[in-house]
Amino acid sequence: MTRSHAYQALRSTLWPTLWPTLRPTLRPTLRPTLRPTLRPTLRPTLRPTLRPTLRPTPRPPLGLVAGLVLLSMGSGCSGCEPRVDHFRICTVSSVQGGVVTPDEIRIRQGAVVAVKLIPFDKEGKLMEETTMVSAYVGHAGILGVSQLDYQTEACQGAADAPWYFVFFGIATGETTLTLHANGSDGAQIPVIVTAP
Amino acid sequence: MSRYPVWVLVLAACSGSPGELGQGDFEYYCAGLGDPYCDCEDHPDFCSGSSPAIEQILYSRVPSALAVGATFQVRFDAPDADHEVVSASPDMLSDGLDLQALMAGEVGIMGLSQGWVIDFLHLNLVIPTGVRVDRVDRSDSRVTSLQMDPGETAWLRAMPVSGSQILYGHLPCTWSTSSATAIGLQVDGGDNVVALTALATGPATATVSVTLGALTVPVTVTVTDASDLAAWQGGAP
Repeated sequence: MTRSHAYQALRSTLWPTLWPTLRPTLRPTLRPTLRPTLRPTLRPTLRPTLRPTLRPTPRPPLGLVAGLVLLSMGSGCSGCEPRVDHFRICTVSSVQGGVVTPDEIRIRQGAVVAVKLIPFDKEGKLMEETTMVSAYVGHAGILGVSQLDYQTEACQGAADAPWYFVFFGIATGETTLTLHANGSDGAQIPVIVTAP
Repeated sequence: MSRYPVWVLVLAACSGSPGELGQGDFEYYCAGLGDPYCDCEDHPDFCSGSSPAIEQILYSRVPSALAVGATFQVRFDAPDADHEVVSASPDMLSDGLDLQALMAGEVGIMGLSQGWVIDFLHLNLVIPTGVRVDRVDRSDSRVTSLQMDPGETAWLRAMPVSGSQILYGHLPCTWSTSSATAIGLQVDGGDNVVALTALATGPATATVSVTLGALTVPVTVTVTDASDLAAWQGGAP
């Protein structure tokens, strides 16, 4: 057995047992030594080059990401957010003589109606304000949907939740509006756009 | 009007019709000389009577009714807004810098910022049912017939109406005369204001017609006898 083979054999047997013991001991001692050496030298060189083009987005701590992954695996769901069950629609402008409810949308051609789409989970609880709400129209030439930059205390949910939209009648006809929360289907609403 | 520039200076800071969500203002601008809304700007001397209130014009407020077929401009004013507006229904109101009313009804216009709607306003588009002709250099009153002295000039303005409601927007009309030797017409291209001059030196009658879309309205113009005028000026009975 050569010296190299002896080293490999020793490493393969000892390393798995030794490393978990050594790791907590080594890391705290290495880090404070390395960090002050690396950081001041890297930062001034990298930052001015990276900043204007890359604009690094803030990353969540690695531990948090791992925790979320484990939690999602444990619970068996594909995401961590609760699934949406239904929506309430709070109108924040005149409905222009039409009807805008979770069961039916009927507006005139040319009319614009501002709404807040409020998602609720299967337990009937208002979903988190970070819930991403989106709306899709079956026939985009009949009903228009656009995000609205607005806030009001008059509707349920956080005033600054990004759940505000405008519906506008583009042309007469019938279609369906599908509402999603965090990517999952929450409601399908029949839409009728009537003559002006 | 000498007061007009003063009003402009005082009121120029505030403008537009507030959006329905109160997050911005929609400012109205004429797309051409044919818009009665801007007659006060184009012909300040005629600005009275049926003209929109001077405050309305200076604030650039959106008129209460716009003629189907007419063009106009609307700008959206809000912090960080794109200033352009988008029609809710391009079949009713065409998009672009010059908006054109295409169909009767209420149509929303939306003010945007980076693709997000900030505010909106509904416009009332109305089909003209008639043409109102006003004499604007004197009384600014509606006329169906006119009596002129030889050599006299009268200014007429045509406006689309629905009932008694004046409809705004640039909707050019055309003027014509049945006798070019009796009544001369002077029109600026696209303007709905016309200058009539009595060219006949003796008694004459002509029909001046104004056509606005499918609507034509006649105005009977009678030129008086020059000798009657001379007698009247001389104090004869």
